[in-house]
Amino acid sequence: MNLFKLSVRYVFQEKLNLALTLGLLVVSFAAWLLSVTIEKSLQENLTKNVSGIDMVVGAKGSPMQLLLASVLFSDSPTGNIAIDEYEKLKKNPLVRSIVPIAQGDNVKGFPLIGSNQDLLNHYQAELVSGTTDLANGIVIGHSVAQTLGLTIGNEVNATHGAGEGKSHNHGLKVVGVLKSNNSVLDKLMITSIANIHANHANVKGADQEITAAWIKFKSPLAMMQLPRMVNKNTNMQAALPAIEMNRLLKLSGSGIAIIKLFSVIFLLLALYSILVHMYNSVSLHLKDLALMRMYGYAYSSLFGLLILEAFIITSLGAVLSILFSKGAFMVLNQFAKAQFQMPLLTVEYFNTFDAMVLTFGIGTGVLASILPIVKLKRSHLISFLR
Amino acid sequence: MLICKGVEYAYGGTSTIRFPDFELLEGEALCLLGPSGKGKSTLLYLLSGLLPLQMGEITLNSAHYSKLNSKEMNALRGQSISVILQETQFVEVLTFQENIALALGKGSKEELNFAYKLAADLGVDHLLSKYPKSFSGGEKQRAAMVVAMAKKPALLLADEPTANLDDDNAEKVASVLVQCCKEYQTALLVVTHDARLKKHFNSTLLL
Repeated sequence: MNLFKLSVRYVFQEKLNLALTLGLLVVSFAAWLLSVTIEKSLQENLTKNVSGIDMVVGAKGSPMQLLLASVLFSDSPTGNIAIDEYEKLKKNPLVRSIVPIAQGDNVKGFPLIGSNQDLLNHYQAELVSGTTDLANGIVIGHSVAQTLGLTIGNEVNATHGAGEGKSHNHGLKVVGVLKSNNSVLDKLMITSIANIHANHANVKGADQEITAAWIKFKSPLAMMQLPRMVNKNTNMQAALPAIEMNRLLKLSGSGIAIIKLFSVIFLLLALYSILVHMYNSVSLHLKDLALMRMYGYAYSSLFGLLILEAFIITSLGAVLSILFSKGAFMVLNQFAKAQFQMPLLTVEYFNTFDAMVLTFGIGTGVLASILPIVKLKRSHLISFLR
Repeated sequence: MLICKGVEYAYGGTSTIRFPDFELLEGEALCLLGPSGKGKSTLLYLLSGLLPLQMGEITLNSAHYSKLNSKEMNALRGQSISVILQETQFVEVLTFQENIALALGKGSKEELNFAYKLAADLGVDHLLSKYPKSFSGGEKQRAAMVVAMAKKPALLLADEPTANLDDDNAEKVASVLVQCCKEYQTALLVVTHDARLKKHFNSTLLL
């Protein structure tokens, strides 16, 4: 007789109990998976989007807003800076490279950015079709093309500001469509700074301004000198993405910490639930175990049977929660795509966290069998044969 | 051959039960009669090795119980001893067929086929794929016999095998049990308070 078969029958004998235990296991494991994946994905996405940028300069204001607006393109800019200041920084011996950013317009919610080839190079952008001739039109990100259904040759009219502002008269033709980059680039529409200035020809002095610039330092010494110099001697502010990123992660981290705390509480509840389940199970099956002892089965076989039962339940819980969490990630990603025009979570078929949940599940199963095994060992089995 | 000599058992040091000496050969059937509370079941558990021997000696085919450790006793019971209980004979989540396989442990195909043949002989082969809770009282007892005899044990112990059966069924079960053990050269010891069964056995012991 295959003891695995018997343990499977035991697992499904009390269906309501099983459903309750599995429900708790799935909720707790999935909550934990969700919290750690959100945290990891946020970190990865933010890191990816700010990597290669040592410093951002923009109009004075909040450095966090500068990062959000001019690197992550999720906020309104703090203002504009003079092109002269940008040109001076470009010539600074401590600067390895500098990417200008001119922003403030959008096309149906997607930010229109004025820049140059360096911005595309920064993201290692690849074309699906067309060219990257920014002077003659716009190059659009993958999400923009997908959502707005734009292809090469289509003309778009940008509106002023981040929302549905006043429309500019100059239409811009799509000259290039980019491949998915899994970064903020996917939601951008990029053109030359001259085209942005042309859009704002009616605004006095607009052609002498840009919004921000991304800077890569030549040496670690620059980190010590440039930010201080910018903040002290110019009308600009310098924000260091690494520092602002940490602040941002700390802010979002408190929310994640609460989810994590709840998932730990759920995990403890699940552990308690599986312990109660197994304890009840062994009480229910003492008669059978006594019978097996009468048939000559060793105690090790009976312990094995209990461990198998707990193992099956917790493994089932772990596998179901992994599937459940993958489903939840996909729904969340759809939501993120609709809200932010880019996926927030990295959904993998099987990752380290899934392996951890499986290991924890199996460990919980073995742990949950200890108490019933002690109960079995202490039970006077013969009394169950009468 | 089963030999029981000078066996005594004390529950918690209060009262000691002294059991009569007896010998039982292969194929022989012994009926142990006595009222409730006289230690019939205790003797059965001592003979099956489920209770440790405190005093005296029990020997089954040259295996001395007092010299066996718990693991060896377990192995002896698994190989050579079967017990038919009053009620608790089946694992309810398994079919009759699966219960036979469970009792056999690592049973061979021949042992399984023998059990199925025995089930057919006892008229319960139609129940093989069914769960025990659907069996009638008589079917349960005959099915229990199949489970117990499947491994062709050297010793078969039966605890009140006719309890809860009417006269007709009690007669049938006792008769089939004795015949079956005779055919497969199994020593049979039945403990019962049902004096109606005496006639089926080679000898009777009173407690």
